[in-house]
Amino acid sequence: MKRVTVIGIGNTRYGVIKDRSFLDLAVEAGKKAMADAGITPDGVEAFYLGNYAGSDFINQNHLAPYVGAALGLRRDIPCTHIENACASGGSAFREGIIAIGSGTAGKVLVIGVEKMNTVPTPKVTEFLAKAGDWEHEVKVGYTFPSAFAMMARRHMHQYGTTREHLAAVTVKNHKNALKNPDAQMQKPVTMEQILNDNRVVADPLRLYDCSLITDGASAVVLAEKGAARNLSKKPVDIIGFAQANDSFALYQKDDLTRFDATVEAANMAFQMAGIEREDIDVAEVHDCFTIAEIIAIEDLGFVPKGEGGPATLDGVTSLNGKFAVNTSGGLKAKGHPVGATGVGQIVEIVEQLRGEAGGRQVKYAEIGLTHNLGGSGATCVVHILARS
Amino acid sequence: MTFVSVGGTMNIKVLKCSSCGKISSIPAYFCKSCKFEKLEETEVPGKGILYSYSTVHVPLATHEKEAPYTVAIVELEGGCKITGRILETSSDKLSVGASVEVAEIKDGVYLFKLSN
Repeated sequence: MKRVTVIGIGNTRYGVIKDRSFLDLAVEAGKKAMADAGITPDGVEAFYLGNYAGSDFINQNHLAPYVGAALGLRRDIPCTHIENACASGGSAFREGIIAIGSGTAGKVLVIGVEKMNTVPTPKVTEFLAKAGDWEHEVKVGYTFPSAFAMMARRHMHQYGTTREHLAAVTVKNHKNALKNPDAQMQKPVTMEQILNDNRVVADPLRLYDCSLITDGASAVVLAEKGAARNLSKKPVDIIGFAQANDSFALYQKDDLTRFDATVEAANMAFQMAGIEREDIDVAEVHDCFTIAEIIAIEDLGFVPKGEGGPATLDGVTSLNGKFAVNTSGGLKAKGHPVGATGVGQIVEIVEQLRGEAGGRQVKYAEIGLTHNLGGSGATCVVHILARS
Repeated sequence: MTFVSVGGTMNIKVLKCSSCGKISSIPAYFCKSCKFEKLEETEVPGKGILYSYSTVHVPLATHEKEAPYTVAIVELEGGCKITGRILETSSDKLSVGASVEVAEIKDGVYLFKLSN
């Protein structure tokens, strides 16, 4: 398989963006990534779109050629939509790698996009719930916050994780987002404010434990490593990637405090990259809820099982910690435009490895990781990137 | 879907592996324990322990009028887990490991109550 390199990145602002359409957002991110790569739409040889629920949020299907045509892509290339719930973006990016790796395309455009603020919150909650098991979870009244709340309760029961541990994730990610001009949340929050906030979403998770309802898009351009040298001044290579799956519904899992798909995908990606956990300088992990970041850093092998909460409180994952996690602000504070998230994670890691992350730059960052989770963990995609 | 046994406890239909005897919740197309593909319908008592639970305050649009309500995963005797609602929403009465039993079934959803 050919080696693959990221040569262009682009983000829209993440937020509540009422005056801009789904297409406006996708096209903006796509154009930025192509400009950054120094190519025109004619240079794109395959296009993958990550989107979760355009059919619900904007009543539109057949989304990849919808975006491709708006960008003026060539007629002789494939435009393909990937839907894997909240891992749609990560899975779309993975397809882009495979297209280049297999030699079927020389340069690939990947865009992730979601426009969510088109309906009231209960309707958003309902659309998101469709990523769960309709018959055995949604019909019962499960929401995604309640699914992760049940994981949090088990984590508290089995490992003594506390609300203070969960809050430490929020404090850190809000702080990081303040240094990210594209982030939705631009508000610092203290441990005391969070612990005194009583807005329960799904007990034991409260408002400050939940990611945001976000409009936004992110894009990347990929090329074969040999050709990338002539195209990009700061190429970033993909050195490991893997996708895994697990039981579809939460109740079918043996242990609610672990995502087997993350463990599997991480093991495969690290083996492919030929590196150790300690070699990771910066990571974007799927913190759809605070407990999800705690479980992710355990499953990825950054900290021992059960110690994700105390490690977060101790600053292990802060900007200057051993593993800088969610320097962008993460889903919690950068925002979570579902289908864009997995691509946005790549954009953040590439900025970090290029040394272009401004006030949130991790010093001497050479190797980074992204972790994108779908549903209640039925899909997980992990990518490991390194400065060329 | 379910039956009331002689003792008065509601039973729950599950699947039993014809090879190793392990119980699975419906649906299942192979035994998770031994991968055998022949599973037979059987019944177990509708009793178990509260494996985890959450009281939902921000509901789905389809369940807006019912909130707050408590959703749960219950581990049945024999180890398999199923989903349902808990009729008790007062959090100080609920805990992981509490004994629960089926009180009724509504639109195919198991409603559990705390056992005495």
